[in-house]
Amino acid sequence: MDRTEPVVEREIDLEAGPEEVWDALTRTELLEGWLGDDARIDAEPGGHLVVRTEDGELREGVVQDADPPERLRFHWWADDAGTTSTVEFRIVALPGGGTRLRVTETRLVTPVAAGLGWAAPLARLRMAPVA
Amino acid sequence: MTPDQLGMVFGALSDATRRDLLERLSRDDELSLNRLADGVPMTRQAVAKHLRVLEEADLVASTRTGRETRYRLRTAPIDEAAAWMTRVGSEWDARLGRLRRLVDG
Repeated sequence: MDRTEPVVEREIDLEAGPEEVWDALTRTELLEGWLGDDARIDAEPGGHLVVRTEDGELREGVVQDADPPERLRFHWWADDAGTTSTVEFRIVALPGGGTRLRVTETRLVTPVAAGLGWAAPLARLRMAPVA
Repeated sequence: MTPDQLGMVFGALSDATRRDLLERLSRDDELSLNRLADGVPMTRQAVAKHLRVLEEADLVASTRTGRETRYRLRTAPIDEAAAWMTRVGSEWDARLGRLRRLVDG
């Protein structure tokens, strides 16, 4: 069977340096300024992610890969819908200063539901001491 | 539409020959396999195989009359796939706009 995963990709150049951009992607007080309310991410592999997006939807996720200040990748999914997608940020320092930030969101064709069955409760456990 | 169905739609659309077949079907109500095979440099069997992929993704529907199979375009899966990309794309446009104001503002 021939399947291709749907992907959306965006890229922006920022004046801020890579470290500053990394902080904006991973620090609670900064995340809330652009990603959504109640945003929190434990930026290490297996870490939990939670955010209430602009349409009021609660999303949860699990960090797959965190390589500061260059790469952050996580799965996330909406509370009610059965769909999961992978979000990856790539941060590249530009020669003249500044940063190129590329984000891709890939909708997972093979539902990760099987994986999420254990990942979500595990992520909540990991989150518990922080809460 | 389940993620798997959406994946089949994108998979079906990833091939230039199949996109060409869809494009031709979009200009006619219905076309027979023979008519569709006429315009492409490949065997009738190869075209039939591409049409099967499109049919599995629900992008075309076929009806058989006697010995002839006729195909017609179904646009709903394309609309849904495009809706997902449009929605997710505009979400990121808005988020990255806010991010820029936050770090560069």
